[in-house]
Formats: sequence, structure tokens, C-alpha cells
Amino acid sequence: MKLEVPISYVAAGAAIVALASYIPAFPVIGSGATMSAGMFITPLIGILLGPISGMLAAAIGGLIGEFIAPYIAVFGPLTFLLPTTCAFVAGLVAFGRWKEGASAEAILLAVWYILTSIWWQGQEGAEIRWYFPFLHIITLILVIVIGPRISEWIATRDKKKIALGIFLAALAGTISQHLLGNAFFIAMYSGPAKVFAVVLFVYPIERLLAATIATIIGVPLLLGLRKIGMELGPSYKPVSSTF
Amino acid sequence: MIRYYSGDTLIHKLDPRVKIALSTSLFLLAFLTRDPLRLSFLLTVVLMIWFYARIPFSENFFLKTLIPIALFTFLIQLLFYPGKVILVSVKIPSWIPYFGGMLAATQEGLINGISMVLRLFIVIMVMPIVTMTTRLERLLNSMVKLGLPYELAFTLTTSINLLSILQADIEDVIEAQKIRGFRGFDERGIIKKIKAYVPIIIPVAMEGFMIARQMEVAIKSRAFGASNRRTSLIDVKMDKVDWIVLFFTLTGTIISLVFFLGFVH
Repeated sequence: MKLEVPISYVAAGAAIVALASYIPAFPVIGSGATMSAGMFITPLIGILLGPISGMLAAAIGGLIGEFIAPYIAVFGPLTFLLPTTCAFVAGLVAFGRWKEGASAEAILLAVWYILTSIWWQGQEGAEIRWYFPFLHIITLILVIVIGPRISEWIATRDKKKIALGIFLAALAGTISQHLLGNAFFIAMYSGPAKVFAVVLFVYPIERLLAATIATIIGVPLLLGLRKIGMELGPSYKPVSSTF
Repeated sequence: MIRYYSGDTLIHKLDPRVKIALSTSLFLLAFLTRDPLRLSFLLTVVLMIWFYARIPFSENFFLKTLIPIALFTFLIQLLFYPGKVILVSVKIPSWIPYFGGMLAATQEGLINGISMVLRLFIVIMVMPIVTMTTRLERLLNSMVKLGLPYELAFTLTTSINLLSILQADIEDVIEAQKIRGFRGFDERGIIKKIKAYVPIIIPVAMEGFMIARQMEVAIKSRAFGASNRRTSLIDVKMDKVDWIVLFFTLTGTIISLVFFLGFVH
């Protein structure tokens, strides 16, 4: 497997993801739980390190987070797959592999429709499955239409373009994580259809906020790293690092 | 930061691979049934392992974190799970779609709620059986023996070591910002909290990547990854007890599968 960045950078990314996973960010309405800062840090790791390196960093960081705080692992040992997916898709979109990023999102949408068609058969409110992932579909369309430009924007020196590129890549990542998390919730905890009628109004705010915070942190972070001679992101010149 | 509770029990002495097999079996079995009685049996097994291995039930773990999540899970099933036998109902505005003007707690929702809470407890409590009773070096060694590339195991240990450094850095950055009059950390409100994160996370993340850049030079100069043949200072080997426990784990899993899938009533 060929990494985009040296393995030590993957280790640093993993440590940052693990650290962020137990910094509380904002509350999940009505649940008594809080979303962690990992929600907006993880897509950034994918954007900075690339899809493969970012995915590994998020996977390792997610696992470490589960070791440190097992009570956050509501999907058990599979919980780490959520940040992994987020960083992977964000990295694909940020590094110019937008077709693969869009394919990953499309596959997750297909999984959602197949799973809900089977699991919610006969349930009242099951028709919500058709329009619940509206933000996911909008993001998919944006990635397909604007995808070729996102990595160029992130690689520029123009702050506004960098911000737009990071926002779109982070949104693609966090929305993919959200869909996978919903699929886990339905498959593992019999998530009923009606509860998604409530979540329908909450998740767009949550995910757009996460992408916005990722942008607010990501732009100065990227520019700061460039100032100290570390050109991470899609403009990073690859070194040979494989395992 | 990663909690390891030392002990002299059989669980502590088992090969980590056997513990992983045991935890994986319990995790998978939890998804093969929705029957509260069978799930209670599985949870009892998990709790017995916790008690025997003397893994402490710290107050923060249960009271502050797991119980609110369990309560939320229970309420979702109670109120939203489709059911026919209504226990309690409350009128809600009829313009809210899919509810037919009524929020109802059903018997089916109650039973499923209990099942999902039991499942949640099992799912969250199986991993500490491995992580809290195994030293990190032995755990990583066993994962390498299971096929994890050494470079990934190295990345995992390096990340854990970096975590402590970055954790200390966060505290230093917070102190440095407070000295400069920044009070964002003490303020309430989502926007203020978000603004408070920016001056913390950026310097800490940059520090992390700077350390990584230096580390890259160090590991490359030591020919890291040049050879695939490695030996370990700490080696894990399965002995007779490990094989016996593994045999009983697999036998127990197969028997449970037969009962859970309903082949024998």
C-alpha cells in the first residue's frame, strides 16, 4: 500500500485524531452525549495527508480513542470505521481523486437504500428513507460537478479558494461518516424509521457546522504548515514510503 | 492514558489472540439474537469476566457516560419502534408527519428497548476485556502475529507516545493563551467554544507534524523498513491453557449459535 506521506506523519495524524476524539465539542440534542472534536479534525487529517495515509491515521487514531475511552465505542470494535471513512473520502476529494470520492459516496448511498428497504419493511414512516439523505445527494452532486477544481483550490495560495476547497472536501468526508454511522445504527440497534423524522432536521446543521469548523481550523493550519516548510495537502510532493 | 489494570488472573495470563477471539465471539453473538433473556445471559458472561479480571467499574465510565447513552437508546426504541400493543400514549400535533398525532410507548418497543440496551452494554464492554488486561507491547505483538504489518504496529505505538506529548502541549497552549488574556475556554455558547478551539488545535497540530518531520529523518537513518525479518524482545506464544480456553470459546460460540439461531429450543 503506497502512502502519500511518510509514516511518521501518519503517526502524528493518528495522535491528533485520538486526542480530538475525547475533546467534547458540542452536545447531541436530547441524547446526553456530546460530539467530539474528532468530527471536524478527522476530515482535515484526510485533506492534509491524503486518502490512504489519512485513512490509516484516522483508523489508528480511532482505535486508540476506543482504547482510551471505550464508552465512546457505541458500535464496539467497528466504531473506528467511521473516522476512517471520513478521512478516506475527504482525502480522495482533496487529492484530486474526486471520481473515487464520488463513487465511495454513491456506494454508501446505495447501502443506505438497500439496508432501509430491507430493515424498515412495513414500518410506519419508512418512506423517509428516500429523502432523508438529501444533503448527501447534494454533496455528491457538488463533488461530481466541482470535484476537478477542489484539489487545485486547496493547492493555491488564495485563502478564499483554499477555504472553499477544504469546506467541500470536509463536507464530503463528514457526510460519508454520517451515512455509515446511520447504517450501523439501523443494523446494530434496530434504528426505527420514525426517529429519522427528527434527525432529518438536526443532521444538516450538525454536518455543515462540522465542515465549517474544519474550514476555520484547516485554512490557518495549512497556511501555517506551509510557512514552516511543510507543504501538506494535495501539493505535497510524494516520497517513496510503502509497506 | 490507555488503561491497563495489572493482575494475576487467568484472563491476564491468556495470549492476547485468545482474548481477541473471546471478545469477538461475544460481540458477534450479541447480534445474532434480540431475545432479552439470551442477551442477559451474554451480558452476565461479560460481567463475570470483568469481575474475575478485576477490571474496575469507574464511576465516570458508567454514571456519566454509558448510562445516558443507554437511556437514550432505550427511549428511542420505546417511543419509535413499531408496535401494536400501546402501553402509554401522548397526543402530539397532527401536522408532525409519521406519528398520526400520537407518541406511543409500545410493548414491542419496551422489549426491544431492553434488548438494545443489553446489546449496547455487551458491545461496549467486550473490548476492555482485551485492552485493559493486556500490556500494549503484548497486544501489538499478537496483532503482528495475526498479520498486521509491523509498520502499522510501529505507527500505533508512536501515536500513543505522541499522544502524551500533545496532551501536555494542549495544557501549555491553554496556559499561554490565558496569560495573553484569552478567556474563550471558560465561556459558554457553541460559537464561543468553537472560537476557543482554534488557538489550541492549530499550534498543537503543527507541533505534532514538526515532531513527525524530525522522526522521519531519525527512522530513515536507522533503515526502518529495510528488512521484513524481525525479532521481538517480548514474544507471545500460545501454551496449553491458551489452547484449552480457545477450544472452549469456539465450542461455546458454536453451541450458542445453535441455540440463538433457533435450531434447538
